[in-house]
Amino acid sequence: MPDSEQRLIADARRGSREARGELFALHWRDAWRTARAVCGDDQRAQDIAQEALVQAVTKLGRFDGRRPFGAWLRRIVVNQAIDTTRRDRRLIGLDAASDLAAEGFADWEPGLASAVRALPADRRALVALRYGLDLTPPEIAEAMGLQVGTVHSRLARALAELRQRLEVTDVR
Amino acid sequence: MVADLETRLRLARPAESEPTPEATDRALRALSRRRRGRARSAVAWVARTPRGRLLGVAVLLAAGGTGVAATLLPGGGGQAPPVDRGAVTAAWGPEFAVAPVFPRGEFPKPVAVMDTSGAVFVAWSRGRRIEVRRRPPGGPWEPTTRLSGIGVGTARPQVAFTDGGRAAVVVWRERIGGRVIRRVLRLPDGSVAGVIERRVGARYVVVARRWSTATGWGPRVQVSADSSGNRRDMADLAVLGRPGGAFLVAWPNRDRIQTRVLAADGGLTDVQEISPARAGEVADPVLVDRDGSPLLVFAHRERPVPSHDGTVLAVSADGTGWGRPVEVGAGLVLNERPVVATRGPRVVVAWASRSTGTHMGIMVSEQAGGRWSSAARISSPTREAFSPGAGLDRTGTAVVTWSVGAATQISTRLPAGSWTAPTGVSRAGLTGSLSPEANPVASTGDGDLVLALGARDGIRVADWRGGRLVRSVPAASSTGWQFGYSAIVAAPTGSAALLVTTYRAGRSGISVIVREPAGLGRDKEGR
Repeated sequence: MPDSEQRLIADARRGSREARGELFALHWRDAWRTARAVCGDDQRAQDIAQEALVQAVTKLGRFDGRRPFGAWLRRIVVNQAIDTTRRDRRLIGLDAASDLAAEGFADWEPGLASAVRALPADRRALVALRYGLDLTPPEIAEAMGLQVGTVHSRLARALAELRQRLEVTDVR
Repeated sequence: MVADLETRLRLARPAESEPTPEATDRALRALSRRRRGRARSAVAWVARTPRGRLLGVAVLLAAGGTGVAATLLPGGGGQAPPVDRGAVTAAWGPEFAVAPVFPRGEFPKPVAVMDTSGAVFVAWSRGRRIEVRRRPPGGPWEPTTRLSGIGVGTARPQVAFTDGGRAAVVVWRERIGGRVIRRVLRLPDGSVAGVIERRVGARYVVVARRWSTATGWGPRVQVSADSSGNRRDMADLAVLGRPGGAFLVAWPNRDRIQTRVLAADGGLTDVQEISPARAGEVADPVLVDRDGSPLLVFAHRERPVPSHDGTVLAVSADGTGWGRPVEVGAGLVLNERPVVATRGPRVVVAWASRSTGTHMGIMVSEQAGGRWSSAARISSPTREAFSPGAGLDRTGTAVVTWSVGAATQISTRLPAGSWTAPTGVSRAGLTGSLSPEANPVASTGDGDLVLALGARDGIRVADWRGGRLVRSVPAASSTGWQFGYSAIVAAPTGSAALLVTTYRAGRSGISVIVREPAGLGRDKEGR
């Protein structure tokens, strides 16, 4: 982590609004992109990234200063996005949730988009981070709090599930 | 060659996008606020408290079944508006073919209106003749009535109600005179290769027929004088019901819009003219009621045609006549008519616009307090967007929808807020870029909206109530996306009707799907 960012974090811990603002400017865009990749919806991504940044800044006391702030923030964003996706499915129903998320997946080939949407939230996040944001397995492991080996095995399971789903045509 | 799954996933990921400046500002402000003071996006208000979740579950159980789960988009929570249970239980009926078969090569462009009681009038031109069909509240559909004679070459009609649904009018353009010239094309050996036909010397006129519950259909009334023979003259008409059983009719005639009132007794007032300050051609008039006074929005294009350069103009009327047209925005695309929504003194105008070298986008302008806002582009600059719809709800929220290739998108604006970023609300565009149809956001007249949304296998319909989408259900299937939608209308009773253009075995037809609240049941055939 650069010295300047360490100084910002130290200042933000002491309550400096300017330091918080600079931390925000540094990480807001990446947080939003991560949230959008996982939840597939611009507006929900805004809420998720906003909540995650607020959480991160207000809980800076728990942050281990030896590690990169961006990776810590990404972990909060991913957890928030997974929680939001699960809650949406529970409250809205899968079909309507898919409709709401259509914008984020609008450019995907149709069968692929619905297969990815139908994955469980944590596997969908894995796929989004790996193939949507091109994160490496170690980066994903850090973002999701998993072992690297677990990332590999879960990715393999997610791909197998996708292949299986893609062989079946939806009938409505 | 079929790519492996990992390559397909990488190739298929959505284009990169950025958070909007509004979202960035909001998030920055949230950093310095306590939890309850933080704003979130309009569509992302979901139940976040146990109380809100319990309320959502309770409504779900009360509504009776998992099918209604999909209707509770963002439900519960402290900010959730009450759900209108009566309207939610109103179900869409089956498709009813009001005009099953059109001649080959004819593509129907039906229009519809619904009065406050839920009665529907549908009108169309078939075989160059005007036909209408009415359905009283509760049904069934009355027989088809043909309003125009043979050989007058009618174009798309317009229809309006007034007097609480007791009176209606259908207006259309008829052709007068002219002759057909034919040129036979022959191959070198003398055999016929083809025939080119063209009608020359024709002029046009606007005509109307009134209908009332008491007297039925009245005689044909000529509303306009003859046009000069320009084929675009009077091609698009507008009509608006006025108090006392009168109707205001507007039509383009070369470089000006002409209007006239058809009184309840069948009489006609003098023709009034609205001329833009600049030379050019006018088209696509839209008449709406704004706080009791008529407001006319129309397109103006500078010659030479065809050109994508155009402007949207608005003009309002007072007791003495029309005022001076005001420019609302620029960049109008030729084949798209602007859509207009009003509620009280507020007006929202949306239109599709293209500047050279850019994707077609959705522009909006609002009038509140007598001033028009600067036109703003609300669709993404990186995607072609078309067929806008607009509505204003009782909370003052402006709702604008439009189609992109693979989604129907929505953007909303609170009275004192800014437009939200485009959000997809269905998985297909509602119309194609070359087949714009009537405003897909229908007002119930009492502050709620009904939205038609695209679906890959048909059309979905969503209610907009209390500032949010509360219902998204399939209303028409097997229409084939981009070919099905024609119009949607709604009434304060909870009734609504969706007009669908069908295409089977090479022939077009018109079907209507009606939704009515309990107590106004349909007959066994869904009529």
